[in-house]
Amino acid sequence: MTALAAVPALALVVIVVLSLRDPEYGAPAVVGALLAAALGPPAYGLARLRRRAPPEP
Amino acid sequence: MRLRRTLTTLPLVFILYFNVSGGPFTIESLVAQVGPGLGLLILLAIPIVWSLPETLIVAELASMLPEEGGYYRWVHRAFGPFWAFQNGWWTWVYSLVDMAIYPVLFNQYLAFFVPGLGVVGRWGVSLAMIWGATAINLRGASPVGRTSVVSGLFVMAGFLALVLAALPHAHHAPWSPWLAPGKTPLGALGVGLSIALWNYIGWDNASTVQGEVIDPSRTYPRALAIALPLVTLGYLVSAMAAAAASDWSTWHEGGWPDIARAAAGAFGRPLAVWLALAGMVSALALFNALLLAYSRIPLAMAGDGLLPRPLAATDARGTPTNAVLVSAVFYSLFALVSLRSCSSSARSSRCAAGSPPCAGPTASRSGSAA
Repeated sequence: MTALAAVPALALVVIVVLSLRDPEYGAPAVVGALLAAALGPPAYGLARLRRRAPPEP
Repeated sequence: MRLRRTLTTLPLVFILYFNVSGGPFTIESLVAQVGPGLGLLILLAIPIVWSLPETLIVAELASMLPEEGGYYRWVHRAFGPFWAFQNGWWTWVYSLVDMAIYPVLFNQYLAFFVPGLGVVGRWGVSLAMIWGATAINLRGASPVGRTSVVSGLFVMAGFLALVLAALPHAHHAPWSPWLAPGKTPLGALGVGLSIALWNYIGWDNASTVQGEVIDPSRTYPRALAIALPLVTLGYLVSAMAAAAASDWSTWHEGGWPDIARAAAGAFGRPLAVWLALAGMVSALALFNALLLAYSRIPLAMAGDGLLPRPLAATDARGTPTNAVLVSAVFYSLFALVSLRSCSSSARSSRCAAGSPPCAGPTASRSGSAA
């Protein structure tokens, strides 16, 4: 079951490698996707802070 | 949040059809780039090694956890709120680039009737398309389903007519030659897999509207079982008939009207018009069905308090009006981005966001489920 669950991750690795071979569109797309993903944890932190904030009077 | 269950099996089949495929558009690009033999083999293999396992996973999860928010909820249950938020975030990010593709496709086929439209004109058409689909979405899930059924039948009928018209003109095996001249097998496989995966992913997209489906535990798996063969046969049969009756080396992106003229003999001209119209209908229906699916992610996240609460509001029809409108505003801005850069980045981020839902069943079974 773990091997089956790893198939999408494997496909992701293959696609990233293939994309990196295309300097015009693929590589910038991978970099853009990584940057967007890296913004996820700080965005989550902000969302949690906002949820904890007391409601406005 | 108050939702209404209105979607039955047939509308859900066509919502899935437009969440994944929308017809054989872009298959012509696959065949042109890798050659007909390898192209057809990839179109046959991907649904078996990729889509079938994915649909089985999605069917099981949709049956077990038929909740509004779909894969976002599954990830939440398996991995907790942090990864659920990441999944929702990635979905939102890739949807920005994904949704920018369809106005470009619409313009590509509109150029058959109105060539030489300028940049401002194309953007105006894109905005009209985006807000037309938004208007349908604001009326609720049921009108989106009905629009998808009518659009799907129009697109499929066009390609069925092409197949029937092309068969008498078939003059060689459709898989010949195996490889495009000048391509190495590995290089062609890489390009082919990349395009074909794009055409076969998204089976979990419509899971986000399960709170609006009648008897979702049965309806979603049933709709998947119908939609997968429909998509696969649509690609394979159209590409085989057209490749056997025309010169594949003249195929190009957005070239189905030209293929129809070359492959369908006396019916070529009317079929070219039909397929150009079908390309526009497909782009509109793709945007329409995907707006339905993507807008439910901010709805679910806002319901959890991770996005502003107004995004979780629904109107009397059960439509998340604010989530739909805010999504449409962002998609309108991204409609300025070009097609190829969109599809590359959408593919990368779409696959990244697709991995956690697929890992969900393993995590759930290993005891992490709430």
